[in-house]
Amino acid sequence: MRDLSSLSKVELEEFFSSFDRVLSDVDGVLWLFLESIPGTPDGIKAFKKLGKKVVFVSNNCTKTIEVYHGQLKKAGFDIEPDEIITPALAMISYLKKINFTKEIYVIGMSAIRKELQQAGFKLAETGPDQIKETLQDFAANTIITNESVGCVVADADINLNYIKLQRAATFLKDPAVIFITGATDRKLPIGLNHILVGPGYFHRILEDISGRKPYALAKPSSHLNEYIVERLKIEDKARVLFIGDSISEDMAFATTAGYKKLLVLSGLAKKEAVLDWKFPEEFKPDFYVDSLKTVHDLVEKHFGAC
Amino acid sequence: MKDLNALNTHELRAFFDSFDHVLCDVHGVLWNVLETIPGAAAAVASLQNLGKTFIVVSNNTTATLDDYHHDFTSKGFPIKRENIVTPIQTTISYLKKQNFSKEVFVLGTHPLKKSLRDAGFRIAERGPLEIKETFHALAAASTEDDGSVGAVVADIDLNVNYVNLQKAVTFLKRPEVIFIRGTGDARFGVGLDRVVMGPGVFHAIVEECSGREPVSVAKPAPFANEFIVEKYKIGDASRVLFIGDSIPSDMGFATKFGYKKLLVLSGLTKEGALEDWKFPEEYRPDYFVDSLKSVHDLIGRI
Repeated sequence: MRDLSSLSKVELEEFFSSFDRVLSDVDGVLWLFLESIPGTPDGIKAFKKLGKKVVFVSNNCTKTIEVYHGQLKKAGFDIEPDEIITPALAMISYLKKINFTKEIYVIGMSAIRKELQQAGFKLAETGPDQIKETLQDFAANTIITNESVGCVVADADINLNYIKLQRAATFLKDPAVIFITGATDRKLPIGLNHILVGPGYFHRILEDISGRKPYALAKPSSHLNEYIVERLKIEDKARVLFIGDSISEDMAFATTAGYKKLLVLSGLAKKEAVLDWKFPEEFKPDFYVDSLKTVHDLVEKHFGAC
Repeated sequence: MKDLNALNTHELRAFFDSFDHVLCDVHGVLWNVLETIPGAAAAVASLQNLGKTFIVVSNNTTATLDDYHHDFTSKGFPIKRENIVTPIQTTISYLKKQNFSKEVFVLGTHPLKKSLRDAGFRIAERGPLEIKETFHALAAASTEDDGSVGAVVADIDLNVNYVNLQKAVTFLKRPEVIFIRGTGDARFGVGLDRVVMGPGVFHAIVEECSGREPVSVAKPAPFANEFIVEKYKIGDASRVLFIGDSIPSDMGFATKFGYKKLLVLSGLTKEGALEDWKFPEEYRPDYFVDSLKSVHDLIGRI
């Protein structure tokens, strides 16, 4: 593992010639949940100036591609809508491949619902936000049979409650019902002081109570990579650079996929995590860097203005 | 392990003379999901007529003490109001012992909240049922803490949601905030044959995200027993008879606290479990009986 800013010009040339394509995570790399990271649009521009194809890969399905694209452009990233990949797209691709025509019970917000509906899928009714506090009412709202449901998609839902979660668990009792998960973060750091409970905890409850493992379509699952390779027609994985801020999610994903790895320290992972490596050896990135701004500065310094 | 029905009159007299207090579980002993157990009410009356103090120990937090008491009496059980123990009582007791005067954030039922209010505690405002679908909105609704909350009580809350779980985690970041756990099974049965996720799965999220371990106040936690011993002035545990239908839960509880054990076979446990004992040896009950009806009949014999 080497700090990119410690490389000589020759080593940097070697680095930049070793890949044609960049797959970059979004949160923690391009921006933080609630604020920007200075200089990151320039970092992306630098890769493009060097002729690299850039595609963003995010686990965040809480925005539609359209909305995501609008936000990224507004933040200064020069990107097309079809250069953004989220688990929602992988889910749609998977369900279409298996000719899925039943209803999908979704634990997720409007964005992922919209994407699924726009792709032609029917969504089952979710539960109410509140019930009478009786076991009868609880049972009536959660222990229901719905033969039309053929799949449960568990992503992030800020308005998730006991009822909606138990309803999903009830559907999952039928082994024929497909179990798909999106983002499975346990903890979501926002700002400096707060860590939010992540969707992963609720997915774990579903796994425990159903005894089933999901078909995971978010990083670090290799199924997401299957979709990416097919969609982007990636032939030589060694010529792909994956940039991310999470070791357990991004570096793990890139390792399984066989991509080159660049860990940025502008998000989840801090310098201490690199110096005192507590993760599997094979997850170690080839290089790490403070942020994409530094990438821009290095390119400008050695190869001229972007 | 002796079958109560197999004892002779002399042995029965000795048995009934060996305890002054009865601690009794509810489900599987007094009633089952759909109906009361025949003869159980008569057994309660007979035991009280023998001079025993009959105390119900339940983890039911879905009723206030008054309503629960009414539930018993309307079903024919002559149980005294002051002889009912639930996590509602133990939670109140715990907070009073801490001289607690701040607000309590409750993930629990209306009866629990009402009981806390009636006991003089202020209940913190709950988060909304629905918020705008952004993490900004989640943060705004759940990460503020002005210091007024001094305790978080995690019990059964059928309407628990993401926002309120997050609020609980936020408050628990302050190490001085008391964390109490009431009724919290990971799974529970609904009706005859369905098992659903229980409140315990949500408590686990709060515990893990906050890094805090709660004080458990529901059976079989030590505090529940402390409450019972103190309230009923139990000096000699061996003069207490614990009646229950669950080996790990009831017999386990009774073993831990040195009570005499009577296992009934009218609920969770059937005779087969006795022959094919799969539990710790020390959990073995002193006596077992098919149901409380037999206890009533046997009292009639002595």
